[in-house]
Amino acid sequence: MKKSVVILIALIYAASIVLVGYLGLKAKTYNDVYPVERLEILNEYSEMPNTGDKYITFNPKDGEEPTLQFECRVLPDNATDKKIIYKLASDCTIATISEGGLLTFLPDQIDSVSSLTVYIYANQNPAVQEEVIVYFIP
Amino acid sequence: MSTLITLVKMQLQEKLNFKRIEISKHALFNFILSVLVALLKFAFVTVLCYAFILVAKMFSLFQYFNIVPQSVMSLIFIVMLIASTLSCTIGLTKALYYSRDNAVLLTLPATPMQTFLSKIIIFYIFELKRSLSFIVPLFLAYYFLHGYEPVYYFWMLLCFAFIAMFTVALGALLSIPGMWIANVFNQHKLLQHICLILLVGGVVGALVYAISLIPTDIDFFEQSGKIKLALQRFFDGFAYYNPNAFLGEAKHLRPVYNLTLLVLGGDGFAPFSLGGSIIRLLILLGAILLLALCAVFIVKPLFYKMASTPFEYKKKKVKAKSNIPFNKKIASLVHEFRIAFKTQERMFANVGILISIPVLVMFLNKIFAAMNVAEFGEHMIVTFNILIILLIALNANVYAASVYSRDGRSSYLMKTQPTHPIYLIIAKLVPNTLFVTLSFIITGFVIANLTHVSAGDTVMLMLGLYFVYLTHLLMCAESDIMNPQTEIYATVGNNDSNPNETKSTAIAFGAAFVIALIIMGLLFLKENQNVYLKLMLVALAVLCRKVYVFASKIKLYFKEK
Repeated sequence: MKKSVVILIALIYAASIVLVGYLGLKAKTYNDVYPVERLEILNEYSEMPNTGDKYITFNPKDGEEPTLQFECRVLPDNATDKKIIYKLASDCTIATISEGGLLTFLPDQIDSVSSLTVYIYANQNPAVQEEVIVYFIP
Repeated sequence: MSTLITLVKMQLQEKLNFKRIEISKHALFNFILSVLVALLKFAFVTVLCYAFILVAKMFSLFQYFNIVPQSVMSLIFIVMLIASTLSCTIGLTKALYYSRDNAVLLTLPATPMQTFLSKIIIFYIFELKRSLSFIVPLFLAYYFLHGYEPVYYFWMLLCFAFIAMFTVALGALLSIPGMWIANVFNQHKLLQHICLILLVGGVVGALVYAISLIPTDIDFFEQSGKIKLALQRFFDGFAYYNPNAFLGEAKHLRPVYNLTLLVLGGDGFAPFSLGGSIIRLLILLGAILLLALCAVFIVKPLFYKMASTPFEYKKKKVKAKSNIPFNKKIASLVHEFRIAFKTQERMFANVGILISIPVLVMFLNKIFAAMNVAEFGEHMIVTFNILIILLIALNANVYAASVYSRDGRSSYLMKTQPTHPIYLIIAKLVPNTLFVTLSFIITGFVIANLTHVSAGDTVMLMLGLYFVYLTHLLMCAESDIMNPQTEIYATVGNNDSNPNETKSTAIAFGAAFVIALIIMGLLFLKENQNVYLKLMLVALAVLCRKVYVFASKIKLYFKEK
């Protein structure tokens, strides 16, 4: 192969990298907000046959801490604000829930089987929410 | 002195192939034309270098500031200097110790010193010629862009005259170990083959390893700051005593950096420091003097000894082998394979093609894989893969455009063989084709692994490209049969301006671009399905047609009346 041909091919080779690097890249958007579309509860739960309400039966063994850690996934995965808010009804006196989703029952306040509802919201958009009823069996 | 000039003239005439111009009908016209072409080439390379430096300056490619540091020039200079020294060492080893014309030169009425010097001067002239092909245009462009005074252009030329002298003197000294290595290899062929295989394997392994180190996420825009910083640190490595410099070992290359400063007349902060430059020039002259003394007192006696030892008696005894008769149809094939494997130039070219296509495609796709490309980018990637593969493979075919003429006046012997000429014609094409075939297979695996093209599509794509390659190969071979250049090869030897080769090169570039563009266009038409299948089928049809035409022409051409 002649030297001039080799040089020409080398130039085309280098140009191909530059051209794909400048023209072929995906358009990038900066400071774009990806909204939360859905929350997915990762804890094992069941659904009421008629209403479809989600519920969890919690029955701590003797000596075990009466706590239940909630785990949720924010969808899509690249959502800008992935913070989740856990709340209980304001009149709930039998348990507390932390910011991280740790539900702690207060056994002193519970005599028999009790239930409560945990409300899970997306911080970015409270309209995206899930509700789980927890049945506590002392 | 006149004897020395005569000796130089004589050898130069042989080396520069003046006969080519002499045998032509328009000798003066051809001479003027070749001078004009050389000047145009020089101007073209200078403009390209100017554009490169200008772009590097405008976009601050190598530094945060708008400058091209001397260390960049120095890096290019180092590469060129190493290449020149290697080339000089190999050339001088051959010319001083193994050239058959040494014995003839010693019979001429000249002293051994004159003969020795004539050989060195020839290399010096060629070294100057080599400097004019790239490194001088590069520095000339740097001078233009930095507004040097006209008088300093002469300084630059003077410096390159001395640097070429230094390279040749160093090459002469290094030719002694070069000869030892050559002797060891000549005596132990097996060792030579093992070393070659290890070298080629090592180079390929190192290349593949280096390619595998390419990061998986490249964004030239986002990472331009980091890249510039890394480049700046790299160049600082051999320009300044910077303890934090990346690749700090490069500081050992400071002598070459000083050579660059000698040509550029300073370190860039002062436009031209005459005092510093003269000191550097004196050091260079001292080094040349030292090397020249070594050449005269060590290399010359060795040259004289080697040249005056008769070579006729040094022939090794070759073990007699029984003649194995081959089938007359495959005898020519065996013969061609032997030639292909035993001719160094052809072997290097074939191994080069075998390695270059997959490695270059791998490097290209590894870089593309690290980019977050859109659909348009994916089509561009396929297009460039096709373009690069075809450009290399089709240009390798140019050899076929002179494959029959290279036999010179003995090419007509093809008609005397006791078999149909088609077997002989095809046999000449098979060895090179085999290497390209292997290269295509490996490249197919690379593409299937590194691009978004599926395995099935890759097979069809590679088959399509292979059919294009075969069609072009037959086209080249046909052009050589129909328009043979045997007379030129018989009288001049290697012909740089074979019209068949020029035509084949032009077709190779044209075909590569047209096919790549057509595929790109088809890929963009979304409703267009099975693009690779279409490519394969069309290429196969064209190949079948070419085979038919080729066979018909051969039949007609070799028909005995």
